Amino acid sequence: MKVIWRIIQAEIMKQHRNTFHSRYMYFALLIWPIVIFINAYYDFKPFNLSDSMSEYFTSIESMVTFLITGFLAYNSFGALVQSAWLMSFERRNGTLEMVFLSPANRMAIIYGRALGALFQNIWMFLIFAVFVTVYVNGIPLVNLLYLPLVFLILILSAMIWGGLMNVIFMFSRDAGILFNVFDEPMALFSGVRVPAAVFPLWAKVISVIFPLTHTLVIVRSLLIRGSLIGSLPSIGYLIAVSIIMIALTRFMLHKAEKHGRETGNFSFY
Amino acid sequence: MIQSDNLCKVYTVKEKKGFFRPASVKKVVAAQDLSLRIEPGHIVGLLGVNGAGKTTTIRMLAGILAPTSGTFTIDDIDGVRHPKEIKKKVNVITGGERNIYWRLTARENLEYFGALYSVPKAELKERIGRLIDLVGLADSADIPVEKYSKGMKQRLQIARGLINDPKYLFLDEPTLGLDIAIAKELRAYIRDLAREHDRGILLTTHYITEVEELCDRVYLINKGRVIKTGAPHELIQLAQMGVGVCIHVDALPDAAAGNIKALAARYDASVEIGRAEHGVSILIHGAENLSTYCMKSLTDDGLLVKKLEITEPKLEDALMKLTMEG
Repeated sequence: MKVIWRIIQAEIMKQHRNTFHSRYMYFALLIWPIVIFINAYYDFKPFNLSDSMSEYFTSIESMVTFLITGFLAYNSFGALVQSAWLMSFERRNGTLEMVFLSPANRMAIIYGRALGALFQNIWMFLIFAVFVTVYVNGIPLVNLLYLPLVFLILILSAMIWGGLMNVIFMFSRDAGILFNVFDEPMALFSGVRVPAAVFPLWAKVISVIFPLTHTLVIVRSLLIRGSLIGSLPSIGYLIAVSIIMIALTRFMLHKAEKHGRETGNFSFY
Repeated sequence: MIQSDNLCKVYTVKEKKGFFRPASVKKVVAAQDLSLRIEPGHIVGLLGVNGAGKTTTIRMLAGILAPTSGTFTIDDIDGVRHPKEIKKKVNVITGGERNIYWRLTARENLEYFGALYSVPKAELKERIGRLIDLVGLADSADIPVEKYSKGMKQRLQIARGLINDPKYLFLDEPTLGLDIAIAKELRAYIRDLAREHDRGILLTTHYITEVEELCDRVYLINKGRVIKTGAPHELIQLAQMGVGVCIHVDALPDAAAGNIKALAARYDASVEIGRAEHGVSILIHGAENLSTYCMKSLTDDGLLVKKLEITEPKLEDALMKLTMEG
C-alpha cells in the first residue's frame, strides 16, 4: 500500500510540474469556468423563477447554488477527459514507454494521474464555488458541515471516471474523438445546467450512464436539502457505476498494455 | 544471465494504396530466431545496419515488446510470461532527446522515475546526487530539461537508465550526440559497471571504437537474424580480412621478385608489384603478417627497404564484409 501511495504521489507531483507549471495556467483554469458559470447564470436570470417546475430554480439563490455545484462537478469530470487526452503527448515524447518500462503498479499510475489532474484543475474554482455559495446564502449554513463528505464523493467519483478515461486514451493516439463524445454530452445529459429530472425519458436513459449525473444528485441533495434520503437511488447507481468503471479500467488496462506490447505502439519514432 | 532462444518479432503494418482504396496489411519481420546470451559482468555488442532489428531486440528483452514467438529468461525468470518481474532487473538507455519530461528538471525527472521503481527515498536521494555528478549535470540539475542542449538531455537519459541500479542494462546508441570527453567517461563507466559491479550489458552502437573498446562478444545481425557471433578479434579472423604489407625499394631485380613471389605462395598470400614514385612497390596481402619474412628475403638479396607499411585488419571492414556476405 505504501508503494502504491508513493507512485500516486509521484504521478501527482509530475502532473503538477509537467502540466501546471505556470501561474498563468491557474489563472486560465479559474477564468474559463467562471465565464461559463456567469454565462449560464444570465441565461436563466431573465426568466420568472417562481413558476419553475424544479425546486432548484425557485429563487436566484437556489439557482446559483444549483449552477455552481453543477459547474464544480462538471469541471472535475471534464478536466479528467482533457487530461487523459494529453496522454497522446506522452506517447509521442516516448515517456509513456518509459513509464511502462518500469514495474510500477499500473492502476496506481492511472489513478495518480487522474488525481493529479483533478486537484490542479479544480482547486481555484472550488474556492470560488465555496465563496459564491456562502455569499449568495444559497444553502443553510449547517449544510456546510457536509462539505468534506461532498468533496470526498466528488474526488472519488471523478478519480474513478478519470482512470477509465486515461485507459481509453492509452489504447490509441487517435482516441481524441472521444473527447467530443464525452465532454459536451456529459455536460448536457448529466444535469449540469438543467436538472436531469426534467429531461424526456430518452435523455434520462442516457443521463444514467454518466456517473456525473449521480454525483450531482448526491452533492446537491447534501448541500441544498441537507439529507441523503432523496438521493438514495443515485447512491446505489453511483456505487454500481463506479464498480463497473473500476473493473472496466482494470480489464482495459490489461488489454491496452498487451496491445501495446504486441504492436509496440507505446512509442512512435 | 539473459538467455534468449529463437526470438521472433513480426509486425503487422498497413500499406496505403490511395485515398479511395483500402490499405493492405503487410507482415514485416523485425527479428527472427534470435538466440543471445548475456552474462553478468560481460558487455555484449549487438551490431547491424539500420533496420537490422537491434532496437526491436532490446525492446523485447526489456519486456516492452512481446515477441511473436520464442522465449527468453532473465536470471531464470520467463520474460515472455512475467514481463513485470524482469522489469525490476533491467533498464534501457536510448540515444536522443526523447523519453524524459522536458518541463521537469533533471532532479525532478529522476525523482519521478526513481519512485516508479520504488527506490527507497533516502537511497534515491543519494543515488540521484551520484548520478547527476556522474553525467556532469550538477550545475544544471534544477533547470528545466527544455533549456538543456542535446548532449545534456542525452546525459540525463543515461542517469534515468541507471536510476534503478539495473542488473542488466540495454544501451541503444547511448553516446549519440555526446561530446568526446563525456562519451569517453561514459565508456569508462560502462566498463566499470560490467567489470566491477558485475552488471550484464547489451550495447548497440554505430561507433566501432566503442565495440573494440568495450565488447567481450558481438552479435552481428542483419534483417533480424544473427549472421555471425564472436569476440571482436574472432570476427576479424572470421571475415578473413588478412594483413597487408607494403614495401618500397629502389629497384627489384627478377631474382628478388621471384623470391618474394615464392614466399607469398608458401603462405597463400597475394603479391602485387608495381611502380612507385621513386622505385618499386611490393604489396603482399595474406592471412598473417609476412613483413618479417619479406624484409629478410629482400635484405638477403642485398636490397635496402625504403618504406614499410603494415595494414592491420579493421573490425569495421570485417563487419561490413560479414554483413555483405550474410
